[in-house]
Amino acid sequence: MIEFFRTLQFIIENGIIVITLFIFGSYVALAVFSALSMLQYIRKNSYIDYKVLLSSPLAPSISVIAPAYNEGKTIIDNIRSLMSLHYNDFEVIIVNDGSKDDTMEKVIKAYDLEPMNFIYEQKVATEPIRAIYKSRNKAFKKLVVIDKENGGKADALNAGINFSQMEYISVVDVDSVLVEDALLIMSKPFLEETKRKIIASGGVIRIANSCKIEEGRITEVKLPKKFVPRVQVLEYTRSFLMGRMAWSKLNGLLLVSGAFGMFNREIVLKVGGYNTNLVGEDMELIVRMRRYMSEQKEKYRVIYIPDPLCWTEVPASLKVLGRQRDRWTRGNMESLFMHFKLFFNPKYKTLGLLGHPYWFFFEWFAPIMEFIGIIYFIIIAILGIPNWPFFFLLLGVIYFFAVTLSHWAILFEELSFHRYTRKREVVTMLFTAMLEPIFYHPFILMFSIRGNFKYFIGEKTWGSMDRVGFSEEEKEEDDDENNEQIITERGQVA
Amino acid sequence: MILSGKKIFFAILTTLLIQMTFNVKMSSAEALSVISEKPVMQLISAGAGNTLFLLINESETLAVSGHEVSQSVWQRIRTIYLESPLKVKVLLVILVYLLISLFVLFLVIIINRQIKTIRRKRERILKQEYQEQLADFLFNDEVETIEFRGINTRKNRQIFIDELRFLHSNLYGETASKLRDLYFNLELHNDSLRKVYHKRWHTKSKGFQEVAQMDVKDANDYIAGFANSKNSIIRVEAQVAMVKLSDEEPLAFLNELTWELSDWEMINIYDTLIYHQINIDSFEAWLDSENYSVVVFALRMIMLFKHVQTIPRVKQLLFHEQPEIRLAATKALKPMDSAEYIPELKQLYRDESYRLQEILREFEENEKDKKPGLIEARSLEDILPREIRYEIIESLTTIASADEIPFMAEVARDSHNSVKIRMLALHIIASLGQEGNHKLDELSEDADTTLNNMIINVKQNPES
Amino acid sequence: MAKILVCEDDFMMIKAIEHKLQREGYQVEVANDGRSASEKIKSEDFDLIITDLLMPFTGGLEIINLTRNELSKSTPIIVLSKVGNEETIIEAFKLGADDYLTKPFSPNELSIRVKRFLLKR
Repeated sequence: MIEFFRTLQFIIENGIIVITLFIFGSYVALAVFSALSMLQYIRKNSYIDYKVLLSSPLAPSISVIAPAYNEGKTIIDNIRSLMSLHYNDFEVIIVNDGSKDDTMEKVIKAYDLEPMNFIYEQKVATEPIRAIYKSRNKAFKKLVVIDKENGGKADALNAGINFSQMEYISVVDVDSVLVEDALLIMSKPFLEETKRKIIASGGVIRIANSCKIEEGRITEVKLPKKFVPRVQVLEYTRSFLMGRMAWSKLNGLLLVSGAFGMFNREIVLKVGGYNTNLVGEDMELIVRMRRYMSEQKEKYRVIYIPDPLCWTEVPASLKVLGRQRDRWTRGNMESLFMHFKLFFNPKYKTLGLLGHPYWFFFEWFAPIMEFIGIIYFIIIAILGIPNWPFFFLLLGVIYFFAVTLSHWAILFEELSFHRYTRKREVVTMLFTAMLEPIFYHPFILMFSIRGNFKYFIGEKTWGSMDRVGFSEEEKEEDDDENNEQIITERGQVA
Repeated sequence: MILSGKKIFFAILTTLLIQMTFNVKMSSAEALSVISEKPVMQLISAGAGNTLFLLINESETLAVSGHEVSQSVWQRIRTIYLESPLKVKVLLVILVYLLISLFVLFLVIIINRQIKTIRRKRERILKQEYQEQLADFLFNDEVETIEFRGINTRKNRQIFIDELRFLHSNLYGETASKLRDLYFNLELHNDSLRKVYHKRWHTKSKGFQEVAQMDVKDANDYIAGFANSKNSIIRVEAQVAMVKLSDEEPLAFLNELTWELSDWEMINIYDTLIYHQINIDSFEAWLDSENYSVVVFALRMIMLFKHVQTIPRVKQLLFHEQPEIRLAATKALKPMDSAEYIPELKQLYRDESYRLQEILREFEENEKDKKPGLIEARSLEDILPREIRYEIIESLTTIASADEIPFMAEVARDSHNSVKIRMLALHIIASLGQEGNHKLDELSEDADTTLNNMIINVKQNPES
Repeated sequence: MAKILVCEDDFMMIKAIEHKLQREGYQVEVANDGRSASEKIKSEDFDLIITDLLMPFTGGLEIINLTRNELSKSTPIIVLSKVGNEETIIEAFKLGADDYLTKPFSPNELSIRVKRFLLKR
């Protein structure tokens, strides 16, 4: 009996140390790769004049799709912001996902909209479309508003994708504020590659809390005043500048944030659009697209752009943050388990050997392991036999590692696209980094565990989704149904 | 400072990485069970008051209590370290390392921020000054030249060059020439040439841009050498520079290009041609290039410059083996507005339709269930044939005559075709006068719901 | 002395245009973005407006619309923009612009056109 516990103890203790150090090591490796990747990007683009895309007839066409639900308060500014993007051949598709408030009324009034007849194919099934609007005013030519029955974000995006006839689709959260050159900067990588097809690209998400936003435009960048959003600045910086940049270089990127991303529309359609049964539809689409390209034996890349192009508000309270984080956890799990075939599967090259396993262990499993470690320690503590010195040593190492990592992130930010220009802000960030592991991280851990819990006891979303990708289209393939998908006047289905 | 900051950064990062790897190896080789092992506590602690750690269990006396009080702190720490198990050693080392690097980082960040703020402010002031001086110089005849502050520093000269260049890029005519003269008078072309010959590629690229814009031809041969460089960034800058700087044959580099021309490169080359109003008589020579991307580029140029004289050759390319070239050729004919290539377009349409059928047949055989209506292959292969077919019908929009009505009717009727292409065909029919309308009515007679809806829509919206 | 409003977001360009026009003897007001441009147009009267198209907040096309259609002012409007594609040019004229110059432009040419428009009044 004692032997059993000794063995268990041995495994857990050493396991924790080994895994912890391994995790640290990988963070460092990722940081190094990210640094190199960012350096290359900055050097490459420091003197580029993106404006050449603005006036070129060879520039690709882009549909900016923004789903909207109950955004009545800010929708006018949001639309204005999107419409003022610097680009030539693009359209802004606002998809009203059955809002219950006055979103539609406001938009129709502000932009002088009238319903139009459009006939197009619904390649991906969505909730019924009520009407499609365009403006009578030629100054708003680029605006299209799709009014549909509620179906969720993924469903709304699919509706926009169906309507679009452009080469690329840019998926945005309607309340994200994009930098005016965002489309120019985002499209360049797609145009540069010749050997491999770029199927999607993601941009850095910056935190807009406390920033001055006027008429849908960031006029002043400020560090968030409240602690919770401020810590997220650190989190996002670490994640984006020290994580995703590396994965982009290694071509193992599994996630393009739903807040801002650009995709090759044909490929999105080939895989059947967004999956509407998930909470983490943005990640799952990327994984599915990558998987598709691997299966088709086509060379491809998913890239990441460190340029801060998108600013969005993040949860300012722990409660809202909690909901977001456990949703993210569930989203992660959905994608990871749905596509478990990729796990260490050499057929999928980087995606299978690095991308998926990394996400599996480090994004999903790490919090669980941490949790086990804590439980273990609590048990030990109750039994009154812990070796406190060692415990504090370990804790110290972990704490200072986390703080150092954050400092590196701040340095990255400083040396690259630093947008927080006030001296005091930097100092605030440094001190926030010191507080994060104590006052913030435990909550994040808790949210993650809660997410796991919800996933396992909640609705088993993946049960009904064994058939993925193309099979989705089977939903619409029926002689009669095919006709029903053609939209006629005022969205009345034939 | 940024440069040295980066060096420190990388130095620390590298050593950290090495240390990490080393430590991980050691740690996993270890096999001690540490927690709840009481003797270990003795080893860790060393004398009351001088310990870094606290004792938990008083019943254990310290094996190390024999040490004399007179030992220095440093020696005591060394003892603690040396007598600890490996695992603890590892963690202690890491901890110390982290504390040091944290401290260093903290300082680096603060100092860097300070320096940046100061520098930024200085630059802003300089910039404004230069802008004023440049604007004044341009329009004030009394001002012959500019003596700008800080002319002796490379960095300041660079700021000045950037402002001058920006202004120059927005102007043409007498004013632009004046700027160029100033640029030479102040010997700024030397700075640009220095960059051109620099070893770092991103500096070179900037240099290429500068000499190209300001028309400094001294380094033409040197730059031409990079138009086929492996480094795609240098390559595009060299190409664009050569287009501008070459006295004859601005596109000569296309003949030697062994790399695939990316869309970005094509966009930049075209932009340069337009911007500087460089005339190319004919792109026909490049239609025979072995580099297919060059052929595509030539076709796109023919399309944009509407070189009708090349139509015969373009027609031939409609049947090239590469689908990308076929597509580019189709698009190239679109703006030409001539009926002379209608037969070829229709032939290509049939060819592509056949190809599409083959692809879909293969797909159908592999798929269990058969789906009626529009079928899309699982693979990416059907994308180009579909696009080509659509472009063909679009080309025919402006040149179709009543003769084409039967052909269009077929396209509209075929339920395997996408809605997009069928609608287009219907629009074309509708635009062909009475005969067209008559055909539309004929079509509605035995049309299914889908087709009927499409016809109704077309009738209601004559211009799509 | 004629009053001209220049709507342009780049400082170097503003400086250049401002200097040129001031030398010619005009009074020049500057707006750095669409919002201040709108405010100025609403509150003051100008003899001529020169505007870029891509500006923060409100674009040039909207400014033209505002002046011509909403406020029904007959102030001559010259568009000065890097965007030079047919569609946009047509759009600008449709909305009410009087002239369209693409960048790169000649300050001398701009000056002559300005003179022409101001003479007409």
